[in-house]
Amino acid sequence: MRIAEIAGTELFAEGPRQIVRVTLEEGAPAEVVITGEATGSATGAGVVEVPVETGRAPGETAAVTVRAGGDEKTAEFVVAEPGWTVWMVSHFHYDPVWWNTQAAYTTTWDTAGDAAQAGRSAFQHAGFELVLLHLETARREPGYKFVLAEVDYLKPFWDAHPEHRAYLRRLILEGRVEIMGGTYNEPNTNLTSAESTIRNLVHGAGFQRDVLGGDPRTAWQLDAFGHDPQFPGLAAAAGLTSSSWARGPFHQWGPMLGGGDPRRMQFPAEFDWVAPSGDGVLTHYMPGHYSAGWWMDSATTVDEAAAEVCKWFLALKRVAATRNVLLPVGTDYTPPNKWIMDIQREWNARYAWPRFVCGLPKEFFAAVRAERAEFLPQTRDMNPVYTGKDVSFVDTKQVQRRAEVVVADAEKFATLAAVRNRAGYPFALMDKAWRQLVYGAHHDAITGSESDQVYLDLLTGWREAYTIGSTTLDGALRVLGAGLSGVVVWNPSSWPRTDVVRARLTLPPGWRGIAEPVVVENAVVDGDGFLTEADVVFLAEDVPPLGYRTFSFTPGVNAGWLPAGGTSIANDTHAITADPARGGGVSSWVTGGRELLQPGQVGNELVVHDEYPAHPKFHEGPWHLVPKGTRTRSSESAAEVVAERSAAGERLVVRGAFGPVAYVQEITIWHGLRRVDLVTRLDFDGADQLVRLRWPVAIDHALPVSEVGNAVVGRGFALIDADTADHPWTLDNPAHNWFALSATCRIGGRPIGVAEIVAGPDVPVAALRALAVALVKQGVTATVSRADGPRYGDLAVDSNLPDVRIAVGETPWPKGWHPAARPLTEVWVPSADLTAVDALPVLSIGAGDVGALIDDLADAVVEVAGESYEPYTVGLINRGVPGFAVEPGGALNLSLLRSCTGWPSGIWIDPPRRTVPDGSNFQLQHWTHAFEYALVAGPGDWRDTGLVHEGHDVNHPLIARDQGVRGEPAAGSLLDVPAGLVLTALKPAGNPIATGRLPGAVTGMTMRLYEPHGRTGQLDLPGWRRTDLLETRELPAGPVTGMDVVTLTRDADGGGAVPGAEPFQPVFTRYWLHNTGPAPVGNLPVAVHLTEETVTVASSLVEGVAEGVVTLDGGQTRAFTLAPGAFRAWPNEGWTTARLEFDGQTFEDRLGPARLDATTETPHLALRAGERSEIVIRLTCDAPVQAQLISPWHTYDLLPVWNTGVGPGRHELRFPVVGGHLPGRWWALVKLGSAGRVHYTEPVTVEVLP
Amino acid sequence: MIAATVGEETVSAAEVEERLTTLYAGPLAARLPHPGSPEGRNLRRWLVQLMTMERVVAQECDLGGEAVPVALPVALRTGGVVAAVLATPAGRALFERVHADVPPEEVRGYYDRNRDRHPGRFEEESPRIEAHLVHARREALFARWLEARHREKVTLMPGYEHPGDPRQPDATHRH
Repeated sequence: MRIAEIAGTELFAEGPRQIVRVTLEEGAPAEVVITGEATGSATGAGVVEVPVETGRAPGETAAVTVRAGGDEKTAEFVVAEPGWTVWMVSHFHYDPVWWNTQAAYTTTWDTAGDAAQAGRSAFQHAGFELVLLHLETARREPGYKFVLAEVDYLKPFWDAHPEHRAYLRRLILEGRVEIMGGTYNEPNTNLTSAESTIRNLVHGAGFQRDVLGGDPRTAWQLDAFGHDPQFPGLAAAAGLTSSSWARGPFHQWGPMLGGGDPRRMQFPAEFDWVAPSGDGVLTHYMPGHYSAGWWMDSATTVDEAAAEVCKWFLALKRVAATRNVLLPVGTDYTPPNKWIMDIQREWNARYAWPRFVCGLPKEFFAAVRAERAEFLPQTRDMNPVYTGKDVSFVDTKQVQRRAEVVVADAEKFATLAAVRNRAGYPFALMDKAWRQLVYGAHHDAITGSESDQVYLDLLTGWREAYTIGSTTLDGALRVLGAGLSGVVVWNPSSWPRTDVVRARLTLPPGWRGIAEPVVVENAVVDGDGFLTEADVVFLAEDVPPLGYRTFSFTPGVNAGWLPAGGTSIANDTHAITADPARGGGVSSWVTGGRELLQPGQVGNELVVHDEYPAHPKFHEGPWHLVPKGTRTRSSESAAEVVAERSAAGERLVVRGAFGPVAYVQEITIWHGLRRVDLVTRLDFDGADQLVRLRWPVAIDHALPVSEVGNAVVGRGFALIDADTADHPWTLDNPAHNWFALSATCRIGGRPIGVAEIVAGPDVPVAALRALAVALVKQGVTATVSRADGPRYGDLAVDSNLPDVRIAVGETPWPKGWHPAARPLTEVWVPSADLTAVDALPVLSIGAGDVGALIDDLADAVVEVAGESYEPYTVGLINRGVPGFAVEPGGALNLSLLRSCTGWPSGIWIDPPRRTVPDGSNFQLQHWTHAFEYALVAGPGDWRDTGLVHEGHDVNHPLIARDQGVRGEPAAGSLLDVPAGLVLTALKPAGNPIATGRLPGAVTGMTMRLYEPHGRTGQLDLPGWRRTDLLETRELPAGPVTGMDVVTLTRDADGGGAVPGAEPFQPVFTRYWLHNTGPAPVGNLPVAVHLTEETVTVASSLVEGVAEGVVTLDGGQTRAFTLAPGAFRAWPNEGWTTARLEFDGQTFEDRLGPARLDATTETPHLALRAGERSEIVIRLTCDAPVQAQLISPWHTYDLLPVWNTGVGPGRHELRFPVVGGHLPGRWWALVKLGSAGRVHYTEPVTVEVLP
Repeated sequence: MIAATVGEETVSAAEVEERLTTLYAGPLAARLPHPGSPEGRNLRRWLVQLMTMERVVAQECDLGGEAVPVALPVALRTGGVVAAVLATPAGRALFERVHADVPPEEVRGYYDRNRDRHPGRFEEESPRIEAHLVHARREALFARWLEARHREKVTLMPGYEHPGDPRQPDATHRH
């Protein structure tokens, strides 16, 4: 008998007595006796677990003597702490779209095409199957608890399987299932408007709380690729109290990537995540990723599985804020883990502590809160993560932005029409438009991570939102503009505007042109040389906020663009010169007497960066930017430059080609506007390349600043020229409307943008929070760390870098302002590590000086004696092209597009596989693209430059309606909005459809405003009340502080609800099988479903009785009367179709195969402006077919009809093609959905000739 | 070159390649990842899982080492290698040997908790419940036993690790 090893553990037996493991070599069981600073005994052989008692405190060392079978040894061990709990949270992560289709992910994975199996893990199941598997486990295991989340499977499951409603409700009541999230899905909020995020919360909370009866409290954003800074504030305002997710402060897999130590984190996994608004939620970051606890599923014994959980416990406890560890047990599409309940039983029978408990996030958060009242605040930017997301499938980001804008503007004017004119409000259609935007905001959709087939499916969603928005806007302006005459110009912004506007005007006979200073474009001229119609572009002056002004014109000379000679243009603000020898790049840009470009470089340059197909180490594709470090520039080739002038402004037109790019650029300056308007159109035929647009501007010491959702924050420089094989992190970021080189805040002569607040032990958490909030309201995000902990700023672990440290209280830095040892641009290098004490400037203050610093920050300037700085700003405004990078040298880069061949580029589930007509994957983007953007420059910071308004205005153009070329002068504003705030939404009060109600008449208006500049002001709007995001709670009145997002509501009688319907009827009930996104118009208040065994009809309404009749195979009927949330079921007597008419629509479910044959008549259409053609599909089917034409968003006017369908039979589907004025080459195909099967027709080339 | 050993037997790299060639020549071909890509290498790893499991099943069945082919599409469609094994005659024969008991109090507990499914008197419902629970238990035991046998008997060579093994070079949990 020999004592081989003595080791302390973190395990406890009853007592609690810590377990010391004594390993005995050889021999029969023996008694092991431990004496000394800890005492205890046990009998056994091999590894003997000896529970000991000790007077030593946790963390101290206990010296002991161990005796067994005659051997004796001394040892020391660290006294552990009892009372820990590992909350094993059983979950599955579900994406409705990614490389596989919505149909397969939701129900049909097992029977989907072979490609659907190739990328599948053995344990993965479709959504419905997963819900059933977890429910079955709950029935067998009384202690089993689990999480359900995304509405994209919950809503269909609730409707299609009403027989499980009662049991699910019971589990909710018993606290055994937590309906998570309070969001519709897991959106990438950094790529959409804040209003889209708000509607995500409205629909998530509405369904999960009102319809399902759950109590969502934790935003469950596991897989989102970073988060918008305002997200925690919006979550709080929607009634959520916590959040949990796996990506943001650290790269993709977190600090434990490659076996890393989580103690590299600068703060505990539980922290107070705070938005620029100052609101926030307690957050658990998953240091081991949302899959951490899943992999024990492949253990072959319970001991092995428990050992795995114990390993995670030991790793994660090191960064836990309390004695609670959340272990997510699940990953993508996972069934219940094999071992989770056995572990709970056997482990807890063996040990008193730590407890391994199958529990829910709400139990975890309750336990965390019970142990600790205060958590370190973090306003840190939870970006960038997966930089490829900002530019892959860039066309979808452009169309998301355009659809968001038109839907929001339509909502504003339709609400005003409903209240001012008692017009009906199209609740059902607008609700569908928002749900499409919410669906498209999913982190595998808007990020461009999807396969080619899924990309096509998603495009119909954006087009639907755009179509509904446009139609609703037209209707509302018709109502509001009744009685007005002339050209009526509408301003969707909440401030007065003077801006250019484009109107298509029909001209009276005898006009050869227009006398006023306008540009006439794309004119149609009759045989006598008179204009019949034309685009008229003019400066509309002083259009009132959310209002209109009428304009009149008189006949004159046709004033189009005329050659001006040379390569320069100028107006009162700008003088711009382009260089034909350098690709037409801008060689000089002077404003206010200042040359803004760096010497020897050109602006508006296109740069093609070569990329790997997938990351050399991580292998992954479209969501990583993977430049190789080599590039080609437009300035290396010559191009044509033409200067043109008109009565309204001047422009440069550049035409060139190099490498995979052929481009046309227009640079326009308007008389009376201080903005430079630009457009780049390009045709691209490369592969594994990234096209950036570059403006190298010269502003000393300025830092990158980025608009985000309803806020503005500083963001670091990007490192875009290194080889990502060696330096994986380019630090590209997504901007909302604009990014700039500017100074969001400064200390003395140094602009700052991203801070580490290093806290001494003497600083109360409340003071740290107040300081972090004061900083972020001026755009400075901050990581709050402890002086004795690790520093922030090492790219080996951190997703982003700071540029300043603020040391508070007892820290190593003497009090005062310590400039950095070296300029920022010298240390900000690929794979930078800025954790050294002198790498960054440090402002060190005493714990008692926090209040004074906060006061000082109110004007975004911390004065330092002897230092000064004159800020200057150059901002680049985008229209849905979010990816940006500012090089340390000062070059602004906008990421225009990229092509990626890496998986799942080109993946196709339902054959025949389709491609772009040239045979390339859609992910390669081989068609004509247009990018509109604008530049604003001026002295002062971004606030002084008015970038928030300019960015909003460029994205929300003035809207002109032709009500005659001459009319009565008139102007008016339809809504008073306080100056200084930005209105982002005006809508009918309440969210009836989202909360399971049929809409009635408009009873009030709700508006959303935010403060854009970090300033505090009073809000006094008589008749309006403060409410929460969901409009369910009244909030006390109070001041609006910097970057606040506020919701106001008021009573107002308005028009009734206009019924809405899908364009094609009958609507297929199992809509997800057609991969068409969210539930149909109306959100399926009552759903009819047919299986081989039963017919069911189920209500998801929360009030009112639903009555109707189900018709079976066109003959027999079944009448029903359903209370809220109830269902009826009848045996299926052999029927194959079930129809239901409800709320103005016909819904149908259908069993069995349906025949569908389709051929495309012409593979190539070429036409000129004004010419017409058709895409013709010949079709034979024996069930109703939903037919949706899919094409890039640039072609919406070219292909005006897109969403239709036909009944059974032989048909010719004809989609008109209308030649437009912009030449280009695009593609179109038709997606056919019939009885749960989809087919995509052969793609057609649609070419508009110049 | 050896891809894996299963007890006393070996699975040669050539056998794996042969099976892979058959797969790439079959109806799945156009949908399969390029063999040189990480996805392609992981497909090969899946195949090795199947082939080694076939040997384990054959050895356990005392069929003289004659492997019972398990189809890859079946494995992926039905939720894993174990399910695919259960779809073969040898697998079902092995499954027949698995016995499980469910204590009466568990049957009663299930009845009490799931009255929505079992509205009848306990005496009427209990046989069905017991059968249901026993079957679920047998499935769990079979899967655990088979995976444990696989673990005991099989040694995978580098390049042929379990595709989900986080240590193998192509293990990328995408996202």
